Amino acid sequence: MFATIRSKINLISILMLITLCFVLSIFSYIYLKSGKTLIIHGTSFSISVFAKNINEKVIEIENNARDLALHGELFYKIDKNPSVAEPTIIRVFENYENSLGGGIWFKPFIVDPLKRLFGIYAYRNKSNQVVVDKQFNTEEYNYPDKNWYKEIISQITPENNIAWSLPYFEKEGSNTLMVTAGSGIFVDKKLVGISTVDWEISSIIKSVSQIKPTPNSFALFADKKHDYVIACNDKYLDDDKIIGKSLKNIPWYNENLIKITYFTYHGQKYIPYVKTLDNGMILIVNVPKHELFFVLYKHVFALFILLMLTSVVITILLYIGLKRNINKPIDKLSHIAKSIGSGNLEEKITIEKPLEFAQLAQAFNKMTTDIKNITQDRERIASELGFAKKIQLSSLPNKFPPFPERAEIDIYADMEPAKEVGGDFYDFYFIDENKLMFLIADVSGKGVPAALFMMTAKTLINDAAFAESNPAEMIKIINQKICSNNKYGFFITMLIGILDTYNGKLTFINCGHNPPLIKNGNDKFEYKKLETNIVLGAFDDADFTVSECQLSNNDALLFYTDGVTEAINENGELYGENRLCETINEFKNDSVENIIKGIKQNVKEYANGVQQNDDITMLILKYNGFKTEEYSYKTPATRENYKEFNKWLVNICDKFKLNDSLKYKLELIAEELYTNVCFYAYEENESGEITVKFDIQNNDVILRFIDRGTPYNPLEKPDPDLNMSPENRDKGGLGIYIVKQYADDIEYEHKDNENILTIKIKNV
Amino acid sequence: MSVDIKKDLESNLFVKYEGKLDIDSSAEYGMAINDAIDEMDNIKALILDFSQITYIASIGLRVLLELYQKLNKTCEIRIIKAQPQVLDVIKMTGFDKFLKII
Repeated sequence: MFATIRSKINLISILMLITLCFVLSIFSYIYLKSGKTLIIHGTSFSISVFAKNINEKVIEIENNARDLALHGELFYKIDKNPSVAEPTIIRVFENYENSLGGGIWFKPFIVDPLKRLFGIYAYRNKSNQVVVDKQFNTEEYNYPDKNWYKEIISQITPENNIAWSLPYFEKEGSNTLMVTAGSGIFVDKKLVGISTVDWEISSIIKSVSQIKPTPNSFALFADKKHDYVIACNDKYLDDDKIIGKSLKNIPWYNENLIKITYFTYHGQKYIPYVKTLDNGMILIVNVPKHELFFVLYKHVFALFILLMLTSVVITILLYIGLKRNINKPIDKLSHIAKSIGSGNLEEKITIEKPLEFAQLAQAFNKMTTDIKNITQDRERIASELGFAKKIQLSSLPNKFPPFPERAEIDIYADMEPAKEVGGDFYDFYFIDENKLMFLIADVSGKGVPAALFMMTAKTLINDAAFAESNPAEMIKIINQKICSNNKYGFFITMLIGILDTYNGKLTFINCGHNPPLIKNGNDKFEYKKLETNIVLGAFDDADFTVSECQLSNNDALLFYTDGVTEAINENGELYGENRLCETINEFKNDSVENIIKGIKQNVKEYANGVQQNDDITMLILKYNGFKTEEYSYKTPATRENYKEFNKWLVNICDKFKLNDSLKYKLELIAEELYTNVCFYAYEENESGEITVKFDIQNNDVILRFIDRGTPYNPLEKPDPDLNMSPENRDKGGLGIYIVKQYADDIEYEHKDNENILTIKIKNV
Repeated sequence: MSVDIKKDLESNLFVKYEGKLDIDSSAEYGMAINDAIDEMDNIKALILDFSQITYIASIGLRVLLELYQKLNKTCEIRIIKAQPQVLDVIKMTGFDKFLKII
């Protein structure tokens, strides 16, 4: 699956990307986690600062209350004169910046037995001046009934001299919602009154509202011990309805809030920060989780995306780099390798980087050049070998039919060299008028050496064939010559046939060669066992025996070399002699050319592409018998036609290479008999025909004259009297006399209305 | 066909012919000589040069016989330079008995 470098690069890139994603995810997760912790702690810290700030205010207010209580004690102890006390209180309050106002309130009748109520109240007016509001020091302002008074005075003990009122709305005074801190005025450990310092709720809410770590954060300020809400900026709650009420009215509040990490409120997750002040009041700040972490998420997300993009880009760059540096050079190399394979040696490859491939490319180019040179050498050798093959093949007779005028034989031969040039050869030629010598031979070995030896052997054989007519002597001479020319230990197996085309007498000489296949008439081809001699080229004093047989009309024989029978198929099985015999019999009625081609095709199909490892050579000869019936001439017997007739006869004589004397006699006899028919056979004005047939039988020339004229036996005619005086000599009769003198035998018969005169002359 | 006929001052008639004396040409050969004889008042000898005659058939012999009978011993007929195969036929048929073969 990942067999190629290309797929490996792909795989590596993908794996790298996955790994980077994984590492980045873990990194982001850790980053997020620690970021969250940091943010939580940081927020907690900042809220603590706020809480501390509020705590300080609370402490300050409480201290002011105590301070004011001390002033009250002094007032009570020293003069109880309000006009002295008021400036003191004003002065004190001018220092109480966080306070709206406050005063000292004595228990009824304790300052002045005649005056039930005694209270001094100062406040900061709108122009930020501290003034005493006299209306609070009247009977109309019945402070002992006020909740704040009751609440504070009920809580104060000498040990715990500070207390807080519930939030309340002061209608008579500053007209605002407020809480009041109070301290007892003790004189001789006896509580005589209280001091109060007002703290405006709106300013508390303002302070609390400032605690906004995130835009939608909100806070709650409450007295946990006394279970009431002092300030709350929860947008889902109405301030007026909740301030001063129990914490139970806060939907999200519970005792364990300090322990939980977040709660869900109106579909929003909030992280609560709970801070307890020194006096036990609590400040709770709820921060929406998503807001708190939004920036972090944003940062982490952005960082993640950035790193992801970076790693993707790096991976892509790596991928492209690898591709460019490995795939492209490999593609180039593979392309050029294919190009070289298809024979294009001109193409050059240029790779500059990377260095390894550049070196490889150089090596490739060098290889291409080397191959080119080698190929050129090879091509030169191949073309020379091809030329050698042409020379070799052209040295074998390859024009078919080779003897068109020889109707008595059909001959065909073919050689298919295994390599460019082969060691097999065949040959055939007439060594005299009628004797055809034909042969097939196989030089041991293959290729150029065998071919060269073959050429020599072929010439030697040809020379000897014409020099010596006795076959046994001839082969002996051939063997001796081959031995004397054989320095490199070649030997030749050879099968020679010498056929007398007149009478079908066939002489065989087999020198260690495969036996021939012979067919008698219309029978099947069969192997003919011959007496086998030693191969040629082995011993120069070897004797050879010859075999003889008689061929009749339509007999045929096949010579072949072992390249045919030893052709192998893909299973290494030999073609074999039986298969050859079967195949030739399939084609036995075909022409000689088609028989050879049929066998060759069959061998090729049998080999089925397996390389031919030996020359495949075959020679076939068919004997048609000496067909003299062909030599027949029919013509109207007129003087004018004689010349053509004579030409025909002379041609035949030349064809059979008859000697001049015999030719003369034949011409003369033919003319005399032609003349006879011309002048005497037919009635005057009647144009009759003459047919002349030429035949050679057992070395006798036979002429047959046929006409349909008046029955006439020239043999019955008496010979002319040669001694008669010339004055009285008959002008006729000489022709027949001459014929009788020259013919060795004359026969006459009259048959089917034909005069048939048969003349026989011995060809000596 | 060219029959070369010449006569000399001593009334000898020379005939030279090149070719065959067969059915095709013998008649013409005979006629040419006949015409030459007829033109002459007196012939001492008829000399036939056979050096270029390669062949003679019975029809050629017949021409020779006719010439002999026409001249009727008034003059001698000589055959000179005959080729062997032609001579063979002349002798075979006994023509050498009345023709002078030289």
